[in-house]
Amino acid sequence: MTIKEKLKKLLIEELNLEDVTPEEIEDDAPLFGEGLGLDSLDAVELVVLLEKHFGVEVKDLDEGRSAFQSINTLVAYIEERST
Amino acid sequence: MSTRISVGITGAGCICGAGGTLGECMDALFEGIRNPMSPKRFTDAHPITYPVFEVREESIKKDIRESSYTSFSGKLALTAAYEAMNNAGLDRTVLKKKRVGVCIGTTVGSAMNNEVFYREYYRRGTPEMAPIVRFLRNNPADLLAREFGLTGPCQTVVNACSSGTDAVGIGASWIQSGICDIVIAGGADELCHVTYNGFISLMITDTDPCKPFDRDRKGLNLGEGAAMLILESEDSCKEREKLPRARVLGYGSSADAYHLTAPHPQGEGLKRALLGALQCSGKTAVDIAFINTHGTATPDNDHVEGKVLYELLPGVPFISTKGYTGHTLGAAGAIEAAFTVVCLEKGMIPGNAGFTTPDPELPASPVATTTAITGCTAISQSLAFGGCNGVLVLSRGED
Amino acid sequence: MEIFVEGIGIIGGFGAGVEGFSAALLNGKSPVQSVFVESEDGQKQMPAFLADTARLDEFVPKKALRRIDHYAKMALLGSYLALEDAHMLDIDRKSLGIVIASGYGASNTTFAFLDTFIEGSDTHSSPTHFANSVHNAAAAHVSIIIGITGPCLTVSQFDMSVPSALITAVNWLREERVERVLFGAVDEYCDVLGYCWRRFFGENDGALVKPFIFDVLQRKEQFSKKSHGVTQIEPFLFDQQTSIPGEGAAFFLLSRKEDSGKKYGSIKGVDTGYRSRLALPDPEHTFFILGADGSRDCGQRYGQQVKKEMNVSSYTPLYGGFPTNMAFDMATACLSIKEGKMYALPTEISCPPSLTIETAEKKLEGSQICCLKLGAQGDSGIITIGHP
Repeated sequence: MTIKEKLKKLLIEELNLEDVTPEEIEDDAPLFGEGLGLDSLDAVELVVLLEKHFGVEVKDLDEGRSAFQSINTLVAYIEERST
Repeated sequence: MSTRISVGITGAGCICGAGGTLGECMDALFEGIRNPMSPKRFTDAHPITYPVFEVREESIKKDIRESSYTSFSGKLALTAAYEAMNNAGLDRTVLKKKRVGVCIGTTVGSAMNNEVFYREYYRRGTPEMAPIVRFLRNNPADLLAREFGLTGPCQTVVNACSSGTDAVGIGASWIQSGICDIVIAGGADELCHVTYNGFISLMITDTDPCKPFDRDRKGLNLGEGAAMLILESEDSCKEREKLPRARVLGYGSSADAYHLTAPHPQGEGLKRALLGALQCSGKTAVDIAFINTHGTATPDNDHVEGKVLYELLPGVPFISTKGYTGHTLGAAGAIEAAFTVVCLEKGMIPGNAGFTTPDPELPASPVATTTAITGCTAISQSLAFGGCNGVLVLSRGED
Repeated sequence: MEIFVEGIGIIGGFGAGVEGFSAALLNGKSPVQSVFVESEDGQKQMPAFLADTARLDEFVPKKALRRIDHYAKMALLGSYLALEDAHMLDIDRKSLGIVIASGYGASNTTFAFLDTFIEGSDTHSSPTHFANSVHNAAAAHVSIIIGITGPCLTVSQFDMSVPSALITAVNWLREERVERVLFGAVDEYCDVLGYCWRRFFGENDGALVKPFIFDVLQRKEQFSKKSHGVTQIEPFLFDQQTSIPGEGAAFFLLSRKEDSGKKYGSIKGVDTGYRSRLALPDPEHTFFILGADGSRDCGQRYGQQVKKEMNVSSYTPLYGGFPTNMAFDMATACLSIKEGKMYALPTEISCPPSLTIETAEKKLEGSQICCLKLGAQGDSGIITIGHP
């Protein structure tokens, strides 16, 4: 499974996205607000998800803000930080 | 238009990271002393330490401290309650003749999340029951009712971080409507690993001592403690020839109906609770000498609170005392109400510990050093998870 | 000022809504499910009354429920059903307050949060679980989803959560703080509670039973007198342990408005506290619904308080034992006022001759109904419902 596939699957599971399939999550669509409709509580849950499943630590949300734009930015962030 | 409230406060007691009695706490506040430190009663696996404000256990009376049946929240509640009772000149003989209720806010004190028990359950499935028995024996309102032989209503308020404020407001409304002659009202909460993890996971906890309303604030520090107020009816005060130290004049509560953890961005809920409390008290913005804010030092909370205060109470001095106590969750509103009472008596408010740089995003800044106040009415307010807002209007005894 | 009950929303082992609940009362029976609990020799099966929240789909899009657990879902469905029952789904949300009573809060999520850091490390603690584990999460979700912006309160007082919370709900109405209050009770079953239940009460098969709450640490282990293969709660066998755990939510739309719907009657009295002798309403004009639910330690107190001149009944065999089941007694009282009759006793309940138990359906003829709940520690609660 690619990082992207794993990430989409985990997003759906851990954020309890109802009635959403991995295929429906667009790589470039915004995750927060419009698009997938995530909010501030999802953002901190996402921080835990990244640490737990990808070993990537997000120190504060300001750092995460640019990385949390879309699936593509998240994947890039993970790839950059995982060894 | 809701009923007016005017209920005497004839005694107060407090224990928290700032001190073992209300007097000790106020000394620390006015001397600008604060003691955040790494948690001592539990260990954790976070790579960084988040400072907390723990109670010095020696401040708790020996017989209470050593009781194995009493939870730590319970010990804090009992300590503050005894101080408040003494302060009000009450003992069991007087209480026996009155209809006395008890209304206490808490979070951990009502949670069945004992970690020792549950880790054992998780590992082996068959833990011993002593921690659960302790949990069942230590509902804070029940505990005080049994300790003092009280026969009136018991209510443990679990409105998360506004619980202490709500408990005082509800207790006052019981007196006003004649349900009780006396109510022990307050809040009690202990620090524990579970809430420590919870607040860190929300990324609203500072790794340095907290900086309420400061430009560089990063989040809250957790604390623990308890405060109790003795609320008493006019008739009971007269009968005991007791002049109240202060009065509860108003209480407002509201729900944001917005988000589980974030406050309403325009503070609409807080505004409703504030206006409700003011209306209940018959006071207006010009009567308010100062505001003891929730001021947790999280970016969101202080932003919303600062904006709302500027809009509804422009120019009124405000402080957060959480720089001295940490955020004591269900106890916070009660501790801050007790502090407010003493500040009204002294005619002074302490400086807002942790504040150095004004936040350009905020239209107003807190009082940075000890400041004299004019007027005898003040506001103490709390905001909570789930969008609960609670606001008290308090005044000096003679007013 | 009179406080009217305008609508009821109730879910439990019997189903969801007043219809399902009435049917259980009329039939004298309610389906019981089973759960598995941990024990020293593996998992054991145990009966339990469990609630289903599937009907929530009628009111809320699934997407809006993604972060809401079973505890809050029960409260949310109870709230919607109460508003629907009162024909008030379009009620003005600003003049409405929320008061929720819960003995144990969101038990499942409380432990699920602990799981996240026990399984992983402290840094894996789930913020979503933490936020949902607080007792007021149900009130929060109800206010957010329904849009209620009035005063808001959650009370946790174990067995007395319901009368305690109701005192403040009624007080808020009398103070004219709000026009209406959505008042409700909710408690959920979870595996850990099941384990505690078994440890405290035994296997209901004659094994060692440890007495509840007070004396576990001091008193020696005791044998229960008779609890072989209990399949039904025996509310009147006060010295026996026959309880079956339950869960559910019971919500009421309360109003101080004179033009309110009045079919469910009004609240004539509510009181709670630690008292050895209770001021009970005149037994000549009152039917009593006992909150006795097969818990022996509370049962002993009913034995002391219930006198021969009191006409008593109990319906706990239809919904089970849990801290806030007094709200279900209150719902029964409200429905009885509406129907003008006391429901017949649930089927096959043992009736000791020392008590005056109404077994058959009986006309109310103007009598009021007093729900009486007695706790193991000396705490008591009374809620009286009567004709407006």
